[in-house]
Amino acid sequence: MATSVLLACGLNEQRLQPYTHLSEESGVDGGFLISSILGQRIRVPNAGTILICLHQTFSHYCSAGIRLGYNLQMSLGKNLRVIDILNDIAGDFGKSKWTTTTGNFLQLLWDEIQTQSMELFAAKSTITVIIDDLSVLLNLGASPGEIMRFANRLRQWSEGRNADVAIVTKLNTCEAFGTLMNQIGELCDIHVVIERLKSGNFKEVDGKIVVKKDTCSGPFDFQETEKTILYKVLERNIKIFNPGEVGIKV
Amino acid sequence: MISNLLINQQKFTLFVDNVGMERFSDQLIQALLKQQGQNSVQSIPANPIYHLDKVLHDITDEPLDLPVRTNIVLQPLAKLLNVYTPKSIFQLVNKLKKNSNVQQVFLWATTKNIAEHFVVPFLEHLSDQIVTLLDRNHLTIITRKTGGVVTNKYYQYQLGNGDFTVREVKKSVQKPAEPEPKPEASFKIDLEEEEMVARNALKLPYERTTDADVGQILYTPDVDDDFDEEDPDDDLCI
Repeated sequence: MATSVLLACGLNEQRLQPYTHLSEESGVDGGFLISSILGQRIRVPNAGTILICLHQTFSHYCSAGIRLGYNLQMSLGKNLRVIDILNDIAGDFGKSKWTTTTGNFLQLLWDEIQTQSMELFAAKSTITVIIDDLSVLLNLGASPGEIMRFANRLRQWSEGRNADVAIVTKLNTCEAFGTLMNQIGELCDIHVVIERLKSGNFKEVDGKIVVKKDTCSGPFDFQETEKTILYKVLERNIKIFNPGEVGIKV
Repeated sequence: MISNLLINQQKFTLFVDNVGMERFSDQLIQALLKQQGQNSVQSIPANPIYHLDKVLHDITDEPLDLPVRTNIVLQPLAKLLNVYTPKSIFQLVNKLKKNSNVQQVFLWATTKNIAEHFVVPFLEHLSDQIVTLLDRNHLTIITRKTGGVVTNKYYQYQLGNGDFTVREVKKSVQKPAEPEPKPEASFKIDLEEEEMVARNALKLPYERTTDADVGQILYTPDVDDDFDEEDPDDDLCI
């Protein structure tokens, strides 16, 4: 259902790169990529996933998963752990630990990820941590600097475990947080930018995905590769096109 | 090799990156030092900064027990600014510049990753050597020597094949745009200055302003008038 888009972005591997970051511009919805990655991760044998819901609730991802051909409820508690912050806050705003913590909110989230990962590592060899929107952390009181330190700490954790941990984060309305996006872009191994079409709306294409990768093969041998694809999210699958391909009738 | 130009007696070298090579900056600086046989290198802060506590401790508290002729590679400026205040970074740079055991200090600043706009210009002011990566092929090196001589050179660079080579080029100065050729004609096209003034002073009929009082219809209705607003032309008996 979503294999083509994951293949095009290089996210269809058994082991993901240590850090993958998705930057979503305003005017487009890149949530389908989170759902697609989730669907791929829960199918990988001996791999666990921790989903941190900040932009959508877990029930949203369950519904999206069913449309894309997988059932998250079947994996919940086995190879999937969920930290549903949005649901917790919406359930009881005044008493939720995410809004009433007197100390550092990100430290609390870090501790929660560590607890969940320890439990998963008892049965699984690799873990993917997916955070569906970093910009919500700003609304919860974290500064851009603190978010960067948090992202750095996640990356260091991933590297320290010999890439047994893969991190996937997403930043919505990324153009509003340009410096944060650029800094995480430097930190990550694969930077996927979901952009709207500059020329306006088009019924056959929803937007553009730009996949950026930096490779270093020596002290002075740096290479930056960039790949652009167009996408259209349909009811039960995601279609991708090469730029210029849409509209050609032979 | 660019290392011949950069590894010298200048105490503080600032790299201003307009391209986006920050993630390779440490490797690049270390490799430049290695090319020149400079093996005494220390990174500050030594350990990566990933603490999540809100208290920003002072970077100048970092211990500086340095051996003689040590080269210091500071962590990229964007990372430092996530943890330390600009003031403490400036103080650290000054402290390192004054330390007699320090051979050279290197700092990498990627402009797009830094929100505070005053930090890079201030560090440029503090630096003895500024390497500005303008794009993927061009860079400039500004060197301020202790005698007061300042040089600003423009280079074409190439990264790859295990080397960082540069070639000095003349910066192409854009020539002022040539005036468009005038069409050939059997009569005079140009205007003299007086003619130009006269032309500008001339008001064309459609530009003329009229007084508000002129041309208005003044009509005082009679007592017997039965003006029909729905059909104003009723009295014409058409």
